[in-house]
Amino acid sequence: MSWLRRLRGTVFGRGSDAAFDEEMRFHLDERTAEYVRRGMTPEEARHAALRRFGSTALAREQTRDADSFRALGDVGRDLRYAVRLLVKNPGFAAIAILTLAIGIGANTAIFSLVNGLLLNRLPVREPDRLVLFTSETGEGTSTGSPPTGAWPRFSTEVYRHLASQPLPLESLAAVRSGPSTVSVRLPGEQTIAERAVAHPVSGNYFATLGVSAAIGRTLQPDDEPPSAAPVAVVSDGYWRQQLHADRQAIGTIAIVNGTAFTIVGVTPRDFFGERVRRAPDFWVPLTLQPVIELRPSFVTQNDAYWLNLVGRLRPGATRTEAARATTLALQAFLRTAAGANLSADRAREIQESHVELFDGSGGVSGLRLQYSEPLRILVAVVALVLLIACANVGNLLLTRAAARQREISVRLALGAGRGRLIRQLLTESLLLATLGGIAGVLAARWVAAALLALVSRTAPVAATVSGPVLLFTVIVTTIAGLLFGLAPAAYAGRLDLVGGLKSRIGADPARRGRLGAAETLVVAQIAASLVLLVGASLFARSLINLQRQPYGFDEEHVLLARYNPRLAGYKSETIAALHRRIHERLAALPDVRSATLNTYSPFSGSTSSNSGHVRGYTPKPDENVQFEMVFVGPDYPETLGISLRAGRALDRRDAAGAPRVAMVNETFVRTYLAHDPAIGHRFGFDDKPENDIEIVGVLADAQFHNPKEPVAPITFLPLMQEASQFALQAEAVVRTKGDPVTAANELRRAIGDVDPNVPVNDPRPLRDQVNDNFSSARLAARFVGFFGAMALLLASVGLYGVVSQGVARRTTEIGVRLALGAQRRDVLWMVFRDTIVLVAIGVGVGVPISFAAARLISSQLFGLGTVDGSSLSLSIGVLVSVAAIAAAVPAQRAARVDPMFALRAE
Amino acid sequence: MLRRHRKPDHLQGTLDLLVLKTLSRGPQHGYGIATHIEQITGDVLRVEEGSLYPALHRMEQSGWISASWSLTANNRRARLYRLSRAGEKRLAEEEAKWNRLTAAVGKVLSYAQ
Repeated sequence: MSWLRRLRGTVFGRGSDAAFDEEMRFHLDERTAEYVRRGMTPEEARHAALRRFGSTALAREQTRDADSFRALGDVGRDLRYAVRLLVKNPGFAAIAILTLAIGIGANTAIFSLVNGLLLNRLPVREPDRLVLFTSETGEGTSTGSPPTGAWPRFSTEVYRHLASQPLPLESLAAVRSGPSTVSVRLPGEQTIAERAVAHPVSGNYFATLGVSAAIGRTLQPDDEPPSAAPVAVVSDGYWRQQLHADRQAIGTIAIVNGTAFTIVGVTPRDFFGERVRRAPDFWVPLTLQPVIELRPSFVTQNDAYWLNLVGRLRPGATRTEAARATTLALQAFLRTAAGANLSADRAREIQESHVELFDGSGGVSGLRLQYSEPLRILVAVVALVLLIACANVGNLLLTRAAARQREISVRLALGAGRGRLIRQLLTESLLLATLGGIAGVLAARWVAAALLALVSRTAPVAATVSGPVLLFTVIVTTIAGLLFGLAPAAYAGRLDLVGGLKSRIGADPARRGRLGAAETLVVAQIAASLVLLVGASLFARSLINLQRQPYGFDEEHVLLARYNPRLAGYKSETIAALHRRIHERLAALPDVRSATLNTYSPFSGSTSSNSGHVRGYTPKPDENVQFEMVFVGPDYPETLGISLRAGRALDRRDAAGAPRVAMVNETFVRTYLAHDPAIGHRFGFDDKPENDIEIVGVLADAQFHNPKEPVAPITFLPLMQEASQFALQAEAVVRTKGDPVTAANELRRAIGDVDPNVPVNDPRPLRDQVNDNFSSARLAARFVGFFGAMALLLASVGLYGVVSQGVARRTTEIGVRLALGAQRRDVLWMVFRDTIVLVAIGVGVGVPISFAAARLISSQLFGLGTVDGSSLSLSIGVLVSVAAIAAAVPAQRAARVDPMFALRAE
Repeated sequence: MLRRHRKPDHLQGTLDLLVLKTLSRGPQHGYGIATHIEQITGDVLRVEEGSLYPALHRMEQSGWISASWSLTANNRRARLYRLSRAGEKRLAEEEAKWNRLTAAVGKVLSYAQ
């Protein structure tokens, strides 16, 4: 344990010195007393004792060495010295630490988001062995012929077959592709039915993920057979909020969509399923899908592809071999199913059918898909900010190293090793970096929280400063400290001893005509700032393009509210009447200009399409004639603000029993009816002529989905004519006279007046729904802009520092010039000229880098090819103005130099 | 370890032996150790006082001796060193080594006569 004592000696070096001094004093006193006893005078005795002892300083030094680690002791001394220096220059320390805090804080904040969003792993056992059969977030059901190519979704039959095969998978679980909203009543409570989210999963789902219940048990394969009693596992959140965290709730009954489910367990607090989002409230066995979704069963329907699969690899198995084996099993199954008379086409399709396995350790995350690209850009941006911050602090230190030239020269002359000196300087840099890092972490917590609020409020993503984030910060801080510490250390390393000790007055002839280290750093800062400014203006313009883009509808003053008659027990026969009454009620509201209904609105993220045919249109070979189907109510064009180009809008006439009619968009007309008059033309979704639909109106093109893609052919069908499952959920749309938000309660109440049992979602403005689609663009624009401004600020501080330093160095020269008759404005120009040179070189370096960077981010830009003239000139303009301001102050100072004073200072 | 590059002290081993032997008689402070060695050897061996204390601290760090502050007869604080278990072992080894060495030197001397 002697090292422990030594460490103590190292850390408390001073205390041990004091103790040694006492010990030594005792020795000398005793020796003196002895000499006195032998007859010396006290004075003689004292001197003799001291002589006898030898060098007390050396003894103290050697004792201290014995008590401590020498190298560590040096570090301790270096550190103490560095702290003293910082305390002596609080202004310098504050600027350096603040600058570093910005750089390190920005990196920590972005990394904490990257860590939370991109790197976090599912809170399950050995997540690395999980595999997903799709990386997409799309959910739903497809029915009909089997998928071709890569299979994202599976039928019950295929799932059961694959699960029974000897694959390199330890287990294979299925989840319903998408959870459902259900109505839940908890017996014993006086409350009305509440809405909740339920997700049907296979009995081995929890075992496959490796999650055990926090209380009670999870689902088991025994729960699956239709004969088994319905059971449900609830999420921790549901248990806490709705079941009041009551352990007695396990074993009680919840009425879900009218069926009694026994609650058998609660999942762990951090568990949310295989998708990174708010956890469903209930997990129920797959076989209960008809109860949960209130629709005919998919379980026994072999052409319904409604399941997503999650597998756990056997130990040692790879994804590739598991994918190959599963694909072979799938193809074998399909061949058997196709039977003996297998057509050549079908055989080729089967040959092409395969599964793709994706790394499941992070689960499926919509946020990850949406934000990974902007986050990557932000990572690069904050790295640039940190570089600029490092350049700034490096510059400050360099300036100080120049000022400390004499001190350093003296120390060298007294025999200090250069290595020792460099270590001293690096210790100072690392101390600064550490302080900046601490301040940065504190700042990062706020920035990260703000960032996360922009990204998502409900997803189980934490952008907290956790262990990995701190580790990252420590690494970044160390690198930063070494980076900006290098400049002054290198300076000390090659310092000319004699020159340093000589007078330090007068111009430095070596500096003229070429860039010194400080100037190089400033040029780099200007170039980096320009890149960030150009990036920020590109993102801002892209966002403006996205938001100003005419999408063909008018999102202002429009309020939306989804309602779900299915949960209130409506069937196909009764639904049309409900929709009609809701529409009439809404249209009569005082604040409402016009009202309509639809199955989904633009930018809602929903879509529904079907293959069909258009009379008179012959599909090209391989063309799949497919159009989107939106079911709408009366007054649709005026409520959404989509112009009616020809014919009439759907109205009250188009109800059950009336002729089948539809509106189509202009793309539909352009694509299929280029040569025919659209009005009166017919199209259909099946081959029966009596089911054909007549086009009565043509609407202007409106973008419903990704603005980066062209508008698809869309058909608008009468909602009140529809008797299928499609019509059992709808959305009320009202165009309000005033602010749509103020009409929200009115809208909710109106639907409740018609039927209080119909659940209504919170109304939200169409404007918000549209803007949500640009959240990643907004994130990029805001934060690249924010960090660009930071970079500009730091660069201008750096420029100011260098110009001021130059003026200070040349004060004498300026004084001489003024004394010899130079005009003040000559002096001003002299200072500005230097600034202009630095800025010009920085811009010259920055422009090509900006073009290269713009190419890298072009996929994130909307309506912009590459760097355009206005973005570039705007950025350069901002940069030059800020540089001019930064140079103006020292230039003024230079112009005010008093020649007499400057010369006397010699 | 880190102090190895210091100038090697040729008598260090001997000083260690003398100090350890002195302390085997009981706890003692630095001055006491020095005077004891001088008295016993009739001033033939005079301890370098400047090197005594670093040596004591080094031996303390090595765990051969332990130190504590205590009051002397005339009420002064003095740092008392005492031999530890490891120090006793070390003393035995050093003593054996010394005896071997002197015996060997003795043989050479007696042979030359």
